[in-house]
Amino acid sequence: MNAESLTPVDQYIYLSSLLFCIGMAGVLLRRNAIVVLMCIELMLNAVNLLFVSLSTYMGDASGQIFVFFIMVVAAAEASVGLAILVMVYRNTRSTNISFLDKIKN
Amino acid sequence: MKALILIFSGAIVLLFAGLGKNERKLLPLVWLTLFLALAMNGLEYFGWELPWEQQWSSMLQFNKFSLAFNFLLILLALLGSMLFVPRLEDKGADVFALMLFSLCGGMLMTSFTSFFMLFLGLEIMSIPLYVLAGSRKEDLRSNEAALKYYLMGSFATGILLFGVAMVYGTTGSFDIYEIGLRYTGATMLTGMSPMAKIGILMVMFGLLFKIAAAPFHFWAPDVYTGSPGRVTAFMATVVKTAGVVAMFRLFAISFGIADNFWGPTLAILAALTMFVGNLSALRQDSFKRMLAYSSVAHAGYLLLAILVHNQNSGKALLLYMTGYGLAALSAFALIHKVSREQGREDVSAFDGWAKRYPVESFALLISLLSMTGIPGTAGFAGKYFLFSSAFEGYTWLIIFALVLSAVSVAYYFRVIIAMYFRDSGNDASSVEGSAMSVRLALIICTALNIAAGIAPWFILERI
Amino acid sequence: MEDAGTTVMMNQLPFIIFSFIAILMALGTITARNPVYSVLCLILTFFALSGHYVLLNAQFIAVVNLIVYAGAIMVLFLFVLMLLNLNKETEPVKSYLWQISGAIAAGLVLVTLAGALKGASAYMVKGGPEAEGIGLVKNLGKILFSDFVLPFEISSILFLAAMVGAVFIGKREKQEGGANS
Repeated sequence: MNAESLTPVDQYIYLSSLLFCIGMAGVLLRRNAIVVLMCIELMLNAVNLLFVSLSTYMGDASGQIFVFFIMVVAAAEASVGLAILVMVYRNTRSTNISFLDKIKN
Repeated sequence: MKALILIFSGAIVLLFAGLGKNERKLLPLVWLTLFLALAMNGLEYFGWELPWEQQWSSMLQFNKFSLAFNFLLILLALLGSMLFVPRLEDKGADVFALMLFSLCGGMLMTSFTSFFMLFLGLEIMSIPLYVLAGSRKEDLRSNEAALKYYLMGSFATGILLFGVAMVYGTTGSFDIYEIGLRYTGATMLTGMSPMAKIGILMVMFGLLFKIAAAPFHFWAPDVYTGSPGRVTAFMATVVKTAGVVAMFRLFAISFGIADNFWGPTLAILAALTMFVGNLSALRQDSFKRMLAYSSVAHAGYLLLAILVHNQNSGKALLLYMTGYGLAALSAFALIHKVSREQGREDVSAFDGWAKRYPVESFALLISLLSMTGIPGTAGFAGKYFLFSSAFEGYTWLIIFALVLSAVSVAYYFRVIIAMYFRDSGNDASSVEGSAMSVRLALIICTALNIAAGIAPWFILERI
Repeated sequence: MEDAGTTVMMNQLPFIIFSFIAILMALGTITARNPVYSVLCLILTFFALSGHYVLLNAQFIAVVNLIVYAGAIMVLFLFVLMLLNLNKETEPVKSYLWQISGAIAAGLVLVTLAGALKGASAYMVKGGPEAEGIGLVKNLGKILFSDFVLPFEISSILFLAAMVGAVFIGKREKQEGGANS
């Protein structure tokens, strides 16, 4: 497949913006902490798509290396986040993020 | 670089030492590591460089600017580890090791020259902190702090990364100097493209989340209050310094040319941050929560340095962070002490403190005066140089900041009045002396604070 | 003319299919009431994104995306869901006001982004013909271990920190009696 037959990069930018906003809406709308975490992963993936399409378009491989590092970090972050979730669940029997508005008083 | 490697190896040694039964040797090991790193950083500052260090200048660059800030970061971490005597339950080696890892991340953020290192540094700093915020596992408030900090932090990372992608798309590079050059060229030819503008704004928002500036500060009070004292002090000093310095570097070097685009936005956000921080601090009863809001307010003052982003404001930033860091460390340490003794953190817990704890009260007095910005303390000198460096371009903002500083007197002095002019109900029988290391660190903090207030040129000339 | 149009359409077809799947499944992730369905939808999104990566000549990233995201991270999520027995629809519904304001906020961001990024490629530097093979393992590996070896090494700090952190959070507190003196 040669470079001319590739889909224009603009469409990829729109697609990843859309996915990013869907992820963001999920973070704002959902209360279950696990689902919120998944939405954050979705946002990161939208960013990955953007990086890969830009990298291919510009013919510069460092964008794809950056995606590699984003994946590394996302894996580390997800493992820590799930550990925190399990800890919270042990204490409260729930993963609802609004369970603790008691801190305010 | 050598200090960084030293801290990382120190953390690994610490983890192995933690396997043994002798837990009393762990804390001295932390002190030793940090002290050696401090010395190493000093040597690096005065020009000791090994041949292999130059080859990574496309990723990390240790010049006077970054080494001076690294020195401050290590110093704050060292004093912080001395000020908080571990309780029985959080003794283990892992807490200290995680703090050292986090410090490594902070040091990367002061010296990056590529977005790769900024991103990795930010994550290396944040991930241990998410855990540390929840290190009191049975405490629900600590749990909430961890979860909230984690969710907000990774959300902010997502936004930051989207911005980085936009910046990459318009310049084709991750190197901050290269990006600066490309943007300079682009501005001269055609003006900034909308894509670059969106990128800069999203990077800005992502970083503002990390330093807890309004309107992205809403997590800060809960997280600061819920985390264990040692972690709160670390967040308010080391993390805030690293975040602001990273932002300063990025916006001075890469985006400096476009400051008539992001300047007004950042100026309004700085004003909002000062306003929200100071006014919310006024209404708090809990001293820890008050300091959390005051830390938000200080983030607002620090944004002034980023607005101006020249040599002078970099110097002022170092001085300001020194003053604020030393003051915040001792204040958080003494809150920790009060809450351990009396089980509460509100201002009235400090009633009649001056009689029972003369040394500690004096240290708290100096740090509160420094945060207010009373002449003779590092806080005043920092505010003076910071505000004067920004006065020409942002006169309205400086006047606004001065008014709000005056407002801040009200809440800082509430504590001073409680300590010196109120009587506690119970008599002096319940005095519980601080440990040697705590007392020593308090004295060092206070002395450095006053010294930096009297001779600020010594610090200003370091960059 | 018609022939050219059909060719473009044919070339676009995989893009359209993968985009359709990705968007649909992303919406499914945020709307499914049962978290397990969310995970499954998200995995399908990742598969669609991997398809995009193949279309973009980034074969290595496509494979790594499947292994790391769909294979490791999502399995971890699923594992935690099953472990905590959260595969029920227990989530309380947020108030309509909150839902609407959240949706409006995200929609505004989308409109802003779409408006600002219109015709963004006009500002970008287009790569030359040598850009063909950059997504292959050979090329990426060469760059990763020469230009980017320092970040690669530094990420070991990240992993060690995350590992220590996860173990620290996950381990049980010592029993009261067992606390060593």
